[in-house]
Amino acid sequence: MLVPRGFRGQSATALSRHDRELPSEPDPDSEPGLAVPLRRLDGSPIVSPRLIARARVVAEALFSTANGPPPASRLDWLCIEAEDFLARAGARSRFVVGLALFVVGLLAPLMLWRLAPLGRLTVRDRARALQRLEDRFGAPVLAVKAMLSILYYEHPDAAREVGFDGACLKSAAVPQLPGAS
Amino acid sequence: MSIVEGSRHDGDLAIDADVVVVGSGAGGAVVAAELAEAGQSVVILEEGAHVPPERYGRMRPSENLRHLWRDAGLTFAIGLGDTPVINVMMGQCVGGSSVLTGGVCFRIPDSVMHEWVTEHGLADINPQRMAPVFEEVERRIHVEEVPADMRSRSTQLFLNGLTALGMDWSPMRRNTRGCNGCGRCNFGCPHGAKMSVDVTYLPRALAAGARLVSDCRVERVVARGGRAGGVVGRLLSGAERKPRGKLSVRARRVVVSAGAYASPLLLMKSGVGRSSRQVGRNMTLHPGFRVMARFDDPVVGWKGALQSAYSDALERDRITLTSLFIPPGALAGTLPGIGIAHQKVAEAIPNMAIFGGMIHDEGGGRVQTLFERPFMTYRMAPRDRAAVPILMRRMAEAFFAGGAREVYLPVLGLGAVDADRLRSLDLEHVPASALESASQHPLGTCRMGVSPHGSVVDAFGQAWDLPELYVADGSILPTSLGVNPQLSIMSMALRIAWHLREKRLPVS
Repeated sequence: MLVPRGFRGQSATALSRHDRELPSEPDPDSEPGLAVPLRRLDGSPIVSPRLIARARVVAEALFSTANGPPPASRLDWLCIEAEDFLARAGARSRFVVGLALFVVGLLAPLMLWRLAPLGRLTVRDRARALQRLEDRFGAPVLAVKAMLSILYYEHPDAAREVGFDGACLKSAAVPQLPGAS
Repeated sequence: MSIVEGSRHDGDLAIDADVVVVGSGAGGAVVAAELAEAGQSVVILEEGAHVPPERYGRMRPSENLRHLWRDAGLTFAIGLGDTPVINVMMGQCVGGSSVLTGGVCFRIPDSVMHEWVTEHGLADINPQRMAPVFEEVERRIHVEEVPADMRSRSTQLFLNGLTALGMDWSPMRRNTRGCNGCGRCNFGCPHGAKMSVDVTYLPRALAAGARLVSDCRVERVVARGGRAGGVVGRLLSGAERKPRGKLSVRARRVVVSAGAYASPLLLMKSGVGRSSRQVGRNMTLHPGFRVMARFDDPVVGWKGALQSAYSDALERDRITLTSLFIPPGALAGTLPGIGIAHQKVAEAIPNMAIFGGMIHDEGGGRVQTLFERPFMTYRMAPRDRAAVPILMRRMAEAFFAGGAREVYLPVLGLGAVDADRLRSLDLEHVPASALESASQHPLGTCRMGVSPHGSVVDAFGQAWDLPELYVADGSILPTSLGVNPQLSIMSMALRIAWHLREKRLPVS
């Protein structure tokens, strides 16, 4: 037996006191859609709603298919996950992702010689604009795309659509180790 | 109580101990266990949270990033000159990066130790003297060779290509017991099979009476009577982990094991190492580049050990090739394409194989602060930069020799490359800004040596200008290793711990 009872048993979670006062911790057993993003004690968001709105504008185009953007419910789930992810990631990471989203939103329409905000473009035009931006100035697109993709493909429907069945990379039941309380 | 979560502790916290260890990762856990078992009273301080295995084992990869990685995995080294921006990934949790490695265990290569002896004067760190240290760590964390039947098809296809090209490769050794090859070591083993320090050394330390405080940030090493006499810091709490209650630990000896990013920052804040002007400098990263390849038949690369084989066939170019796999979301995020084009490559993920290459770099990185905000810079040496196109081309050739239809190189905006196009690509002139690079091995920012002029600590990790302050983590390694450093860090820490065990504690 490698793990004394005390070490495993004395603190079941990593929640802070403030966190505990809000239903902010993802339940490992929960299904996608039930996540509640981390908020401040007064309930105000840590992540700017504008930042999440910008992420959604990109996600609609990034994950669009010939049938259009992904289902709204999946995008809703993605935005909640993105908010929680960025809330926990720290101010510096929020700044990096926020800056990348701002740059992408600013430059992508220019790729189609358009001055309108990215969100005003149709999803198809948005995808074209982002594709051109990725081809020419890949770094900001990569930063946004990497974060969104990591979250998006954790949705079981999205994972299933690309043929992913890696059980251990999803939420998995964990056998209790000897001595664990 | 052996674990205090700083985020749950009301008010201030003051502790007395023989030894305070700052950091609970590969270095700190080893030192803490050895000294606690020797009868010393030990306190371990950890900035990250305590997330037990039964909890992190149930997390999705992105949840794991949020809870166990520094900056959720979004820490970067700014590239200077002809150097790409490098994503430097580090753990920030009880157990540190040890919880998040692929479990790969290499001893310090003999050639590297030879360099330390001949060029850095570290005569005692040689293969003969280090052998028993390596053996002890390997026994404690159960280092074993990855069996062939646990190799993923992704890895095997690349190895087939290497073999076809006449390039040697070898199975890896990892710290596992009962691994079933489910391919998610980087996000905490869900089966308790990876022998990271949170399931090996830390339980030993706690069983021997050590106390652990998580969710606390050490701000300064305190000097008393001309030597290190403790640390002060703050307990962290709240959604944004704001500093709250005060933390002070009065100790007769201080061991800093916060890693190559945080250790030099702590020394700088404490005014240690100013005379050498080496604190925070000499950072090496093992800049890594991954190449992906699409095959006609399914690969299902997530089935099998995450890391199971490596090749040093390109050692002359200071390149080590190592197997790996990443979750499909991360994989899709780095593949080119938006919208329908993205969908097309994402649907090919089951047919994708991946292999990684890292450069045994010369250094040129630095950890520093601007308005008290830490940041990293990295300038690639010309020789290291010249190795990047060699790495990409040889890895792509190996994949094609293994039957790949097309490859995806770590070059932004390049798209899929077939064998014909590879031959005509001018990889030597790809600008650094278009390269995608990552590192998991920051080292060397408080390097050891035999003189206070060129190093921060002596050969046993003691700071030159503050007695009883020791550093025991990857920051003391005087050069990069060219291989994954986990076992090397633990072994260097054990060597220091054995020295401290025999050295009388100063009178308080």
